[in-house]
Amino acid sequence: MAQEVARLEKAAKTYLRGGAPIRALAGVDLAVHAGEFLAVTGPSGSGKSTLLHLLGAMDTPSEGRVLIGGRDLAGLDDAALSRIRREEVGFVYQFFHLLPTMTALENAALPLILQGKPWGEARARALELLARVGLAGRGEHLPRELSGGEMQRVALARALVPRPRLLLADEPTGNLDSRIGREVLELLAALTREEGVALVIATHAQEPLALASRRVRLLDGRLAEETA
Amino acid sequence: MSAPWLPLLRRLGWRRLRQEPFRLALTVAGVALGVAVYLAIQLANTSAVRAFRNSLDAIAGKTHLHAAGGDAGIPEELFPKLRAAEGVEKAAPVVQQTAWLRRPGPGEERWTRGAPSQGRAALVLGVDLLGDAAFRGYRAEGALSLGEMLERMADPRGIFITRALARELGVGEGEWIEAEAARRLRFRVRGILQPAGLAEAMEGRVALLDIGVAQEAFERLGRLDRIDLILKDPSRLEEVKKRVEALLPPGVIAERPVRRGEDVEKMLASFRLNLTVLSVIALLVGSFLIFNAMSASVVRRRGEIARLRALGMTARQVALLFAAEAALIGLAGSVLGLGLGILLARGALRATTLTIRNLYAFLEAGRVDLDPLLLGAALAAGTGVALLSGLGPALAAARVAPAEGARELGAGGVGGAPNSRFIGRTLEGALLASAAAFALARLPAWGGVPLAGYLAAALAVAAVALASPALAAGGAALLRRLPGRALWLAAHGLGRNPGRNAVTIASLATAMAMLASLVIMVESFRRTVAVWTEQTLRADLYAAPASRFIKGSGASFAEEALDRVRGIQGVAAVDGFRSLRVPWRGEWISLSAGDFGVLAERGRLLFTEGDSAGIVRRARERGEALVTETFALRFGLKRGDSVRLPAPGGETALRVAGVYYDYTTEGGHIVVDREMLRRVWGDRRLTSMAVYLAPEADRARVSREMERALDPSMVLISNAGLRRRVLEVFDQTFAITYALEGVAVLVALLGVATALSSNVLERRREIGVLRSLGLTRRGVAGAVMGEAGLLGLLSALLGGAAGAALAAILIFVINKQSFGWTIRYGLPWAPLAGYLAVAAAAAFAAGAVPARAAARAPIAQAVREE
Repeated sequence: MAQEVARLEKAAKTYLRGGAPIRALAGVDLAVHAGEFLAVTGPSGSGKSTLLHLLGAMDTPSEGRVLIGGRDLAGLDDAALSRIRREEVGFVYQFFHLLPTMTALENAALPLILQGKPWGEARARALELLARVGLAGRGEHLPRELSGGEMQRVALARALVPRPRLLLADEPTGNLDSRIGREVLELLAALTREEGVALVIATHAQEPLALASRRVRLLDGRLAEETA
Repeated sequence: MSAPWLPLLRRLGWRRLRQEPFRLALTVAGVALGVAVYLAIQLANTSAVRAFRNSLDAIAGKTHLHAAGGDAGIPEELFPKLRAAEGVEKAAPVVQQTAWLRRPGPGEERWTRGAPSQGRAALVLGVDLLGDAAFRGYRAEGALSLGEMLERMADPRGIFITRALARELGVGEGEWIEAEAARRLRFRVRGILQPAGLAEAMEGRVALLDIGVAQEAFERLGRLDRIDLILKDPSRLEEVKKRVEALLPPGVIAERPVRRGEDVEKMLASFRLNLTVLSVIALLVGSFLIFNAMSASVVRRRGEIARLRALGMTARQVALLFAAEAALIGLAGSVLGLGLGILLARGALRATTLTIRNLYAFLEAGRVDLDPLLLGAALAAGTGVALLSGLGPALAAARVAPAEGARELGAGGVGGAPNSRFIGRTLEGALLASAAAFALARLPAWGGVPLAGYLAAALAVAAVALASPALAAGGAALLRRLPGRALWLAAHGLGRNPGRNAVTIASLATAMAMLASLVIMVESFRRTVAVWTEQTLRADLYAAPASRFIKGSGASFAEEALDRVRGIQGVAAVDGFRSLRVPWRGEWISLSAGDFGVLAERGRLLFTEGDSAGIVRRARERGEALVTETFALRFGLKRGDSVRLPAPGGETALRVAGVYYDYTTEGGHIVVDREMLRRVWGDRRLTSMAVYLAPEADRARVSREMERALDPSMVLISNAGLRRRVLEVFDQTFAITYALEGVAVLVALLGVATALSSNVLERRREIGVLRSLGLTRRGVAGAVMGEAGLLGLLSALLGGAAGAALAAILIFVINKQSFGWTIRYGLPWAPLAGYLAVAAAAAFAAGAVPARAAARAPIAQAVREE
């Protein structure tokens, strides 16, 4: 078995909405290994996003543990958690979440800028990734000058720029038409394979399932079944 | 029309606002501060003027007409003639003098520095009580009859004081008090006046003497200050006035008592207008705040607006919804502002009164009149300004299309890159406004009011606001090229919403420009005055009656004092100075005289052209006059012009030998040699003296001997002491100006805090994305505070530059046309940089609360897909 990248142990998450507690995750055990492509399916509200946010050190569990690279996140301070997000995890969202005032190149280079890397180095790495997602020569464009598929490619380049060990994608094709969505998905799978990055996709769509090496299904905050 | 938006206002607007109490509180506070300052100044202004008017009414009593001759007074032989004049029912002689009153001290100590701290300035009236009772009401404590009062007043050392004065001085009936005007004298309190009639003038700072006692005490034997007249038929006033005038010698005029008030009010007009203009600034800066808050609200609620439009709400109703919200915020702020303004009015009145006393006339005003008209006007102004500022955002809201709801989460988000056309247009506007301001600044005053100058200043301020978008965009573009993460992100934040950030910069830069212009103007003025005192105050010691430190007191002393001082060993020369209020061209002017011989030899005046000694010497030889710059401007005179002044022997023609700079009085002086004053006007009294010492003289010894030679009521001031006193008065005068500006900057800082918290709210998701990419909380806070600091810095740069231009308008146009003073423009680098740095730093600090909110926002919620 390949090396373990991240793990949830009896992870549960409850949050309040309008004063009423909502149980988004109810004790989930899940391990993600290097190089695998894990698809998380389930209906809307089943806890997919919450699961991804826990794996990405963007949220903390109400109960249970989250380990990234073997380290328990409990008790880490903001600086340490930020460092994990900056260096070990990449994130791709349904609505791309590019920063509108930054060019494609600046958006892609952002993680390295945040790491304190000099602009030259950040720029070189970002250009390399933009070329690999098929956007060579589009680096100076602002997000609003790009199509949806192009924006998602920039987001993908941004996620991979810091050489993370884990890439989390929340409905990455949900806002794209099916042809473009398939292209982006294939790019996502190919790039993570080449870089040896573990990929976890939360999705409604069918296409990812075909490409995934492993699938889990969430229902009411529990891992209901696991199909090989 | 039914108004379906009305219930929505409560359900949508109010609920939204309630969710953001911080921003709502800041916006309301900004309006409240603006309204408070405006109201406080208006209340202080009108209360001061009203107090002045009431005092004059109380002093005039039932007088219809009076004859007055200024400081020279009028001969008492005139009294029986006027009483017998046809149409005159009653006549009353009056000697009036402002004096210091106090409890007698243990010894003969002398007040040495400037205004005496012990003692109270008060108006002392000498009257013939028997006849005067018909003019002014008197009521003494203990229900004294007129006869009893007369009996007590017959005491040659008896004085009546008001209950207010008795309390302040801590004396009662039968006790002694000291009065200082021409001399130091002791009087016994023979009665306490109840607050009625005359005793209510000057907030009760009034004392009463028998006329004979007053003439002797104030060295006016045979002279009166006024003769008050009651007419048989007041409707025939003009007719009687002509008849009375025919009986008057030159230099004495007949006028209605209200004229004095009108004169002072005319002098005060510029001062009041200046204060009003300044007080409006905070209100205008507050309007930026409303604009910002409402624009942010529209941006954030686009989705909601679109859904309402899709549900059938008309564009007009949407606009009304937002306009009503702005008006309600304005109303809330205004109501708070009324309360705060009333509280501030007392302090403002104290400062205003002090300035009026320093520059214009003796005045006591302690009560703030809560004029309902002014309260209503302030309420309307605050609400109206808020409504006007909310109009733009309301119209923007009305333009939101019903279909926009579906697209609201579009990838580009709202805002986006700066709109270059908008920036280009505003920049053009800024240049146009600057050019217009430049052109207007060259126009003359309009009816004595520098209307074009004010307009030019307003345009300069508008240019600042219009230059802001270009500055925000340019600054952001420039800063993005700089290394360093926090600044890089901050610069992106700045470019994120150029419209709103431009408004924030505009408000802060406007406030800072005005602050900078005031700092430059006041410091330039101060330096001009300081240099002027250094160059023109050349004597070693000065002496004047203590009551000269009450504006317009008219106190004088006999010229024999000069000889006594001249005899002191070590005194090289003495210049006796006399200043007389005399009527001329329907106004009261100051006719002054000095010893031109001493002045030419030892003193120095700063003439607009020519050298001092030469001009003064020639003026002495040829019997010519000198005029101050303000006097020349007031009457349109220049060197070589001839004026005809009234004198006891008829009119005297005087040629203007030169115009010189002077910063001591607002109306200015016309000055002749004292020999000429003696010869032509027959005046032998002095108001102050300047003493020049021999090089080897011991100044301390000369001072001591002068003290022995002069009456204890005379104040001795050294050259340095007098210069210090001049600058003290100067600083008191401008204290309120600085206070007003400080409030405007405070309001602008509230604007920075609200703008940033709006930005943080709108960028919730963006901040979440940055956090998910690994930016720490401190990094987020740093970026927000960095943005605040950049806003402050850019505003300070723009404000400083614009302030330098605005100051030029203030100095060369507005001030020159309002007051006539020439000020040398100078940039006071250190204080200017200090003020701007503090303001920029405060802007940085204003980012702290929004920065904390941004840093604490949970990431997962921010990036969650809808």
